[in-house]
Amino acid sequence: MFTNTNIYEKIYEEALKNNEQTVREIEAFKKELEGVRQNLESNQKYLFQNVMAPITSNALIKGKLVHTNEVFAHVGDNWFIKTSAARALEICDRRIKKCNENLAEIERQTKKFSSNVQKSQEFDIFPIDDVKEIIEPYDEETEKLWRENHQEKVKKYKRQQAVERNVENIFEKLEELEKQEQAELSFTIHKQMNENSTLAVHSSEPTSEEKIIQKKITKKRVSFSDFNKNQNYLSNDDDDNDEKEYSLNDINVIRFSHSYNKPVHFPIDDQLIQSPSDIYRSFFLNYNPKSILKNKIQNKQYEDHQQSKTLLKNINAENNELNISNINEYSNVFGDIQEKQFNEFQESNKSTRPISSFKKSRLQHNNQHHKILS
Amino acid sequence: MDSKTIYDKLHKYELYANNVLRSDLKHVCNELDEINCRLAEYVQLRKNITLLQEYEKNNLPYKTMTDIGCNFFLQMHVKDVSTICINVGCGYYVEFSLAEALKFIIMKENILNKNLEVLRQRSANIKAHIKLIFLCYNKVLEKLTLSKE
Repeated sequence: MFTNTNIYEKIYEEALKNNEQTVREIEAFKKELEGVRQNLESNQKYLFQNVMAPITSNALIKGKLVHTNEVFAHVGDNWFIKTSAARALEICDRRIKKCNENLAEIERQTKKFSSNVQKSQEFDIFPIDDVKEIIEPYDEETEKLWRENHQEKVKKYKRQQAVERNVENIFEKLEELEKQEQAELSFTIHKQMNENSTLAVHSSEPTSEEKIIQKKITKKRVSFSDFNKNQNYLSNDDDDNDEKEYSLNDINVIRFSHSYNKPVHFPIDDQLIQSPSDIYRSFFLNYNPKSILKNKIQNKQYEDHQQSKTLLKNINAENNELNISNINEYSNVFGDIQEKQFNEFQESNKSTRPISSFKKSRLQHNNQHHKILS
Repeated sequence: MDSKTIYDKLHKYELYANNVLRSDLKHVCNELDEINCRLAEYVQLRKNITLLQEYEKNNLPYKTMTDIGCNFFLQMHVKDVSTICINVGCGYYVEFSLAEALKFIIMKENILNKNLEVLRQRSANIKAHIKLIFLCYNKVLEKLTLSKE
């Protein structure tokens, strides 16, 4: 039987063994490559060389290496390249370099693995004795059933909750409506009383009923949706009398009334200055502070101007009629001669350069001021 | 015999079959592989030598490529094809003429073949033993269960 430790350690052991094997292989290959390098270097120096060449692993034959600068290098998949010895050396160097890289990588890996094993032993990650495994059985079908049951239960519970909530809501609404009705009744009574009674009644502290109304009013929230609703009710009022009661209850009526305090009128004294308005009254008798509304004086002037214009026109028209009658009489003698319309010309000459309304008002003001000073 | 002692013995036999016999079988198989390799090399060499004999007959130079390691090949000319050095064991090479070399190789092949036969016999024996043990094991178990019922 395998415990967890056994499995864990065995895997790492195997990995480490594998690594050792690969390291051995790579080192052997590297050694061979270095041998080849030496051979190539030594062969480069000579045109030919007498050697005992191997025929299979256990036989040698006397031979002579020729064309020592021509090397066939195996590049994999049974492909060979015919290169010079120098190039072959380069290939060798590259392969040796690659071997070194691989070796470094494997060394790193072995270090990691060994440290992992060591750490697991140090901290006792997989303790063997006195340990209970936590096992939670998992069966898909039972899990499915449980989930379905759970869903149903949740649905039931939610439905029940909703029913309870509805009942509560109805009672709350009824209570609220009752209260509102009472409040309205009391409000109307109060109003009637106020109409009859004097100021003293009003100045007394608000009664409990009044307080309720105030609370109601403050509690009620007004929004556009409410407003629309109310409007609908109002429109329905005209059509149906049955809905009238219902709608009246639902409309939020806001009533305004003037305060019952009488306004205080201070005795007017020309000499005393009690407010800024008195300054104007006492010093600038004819001057009113400039308002942002349309200027009355200017308007008046404009109207006067218009009136005079129309008058002039009427006069001219009369004159023209007279002239035309005169011309008609002497048309045979003078022909169609028309008198120059002198009045219009004069008028056009009269109009001066336009002055801004602001400047005009200032000039007027200055004139008044001078008058007062003088 | 007591059933417990029978079980103990069965367990012992099982262990023997698994640990001893199986490891022996593995060892023998490895040896077989090795000898087969050597035999294959000798066969290859024999073929080479018969080829060289033709060159010798026609008095031609033998042109070939030789591996200098890691599949780097160089061209090689062999002028004298008459003699060849063959490993006779322990790193000693003896220079033979081609005909002698052939004789030597054939002798070697015979030896290796005999070795192979022996090894094959042994492996077959071990296999038979393992099989027998498990057959007996089954029969004994059957009998035990029957007696219990």
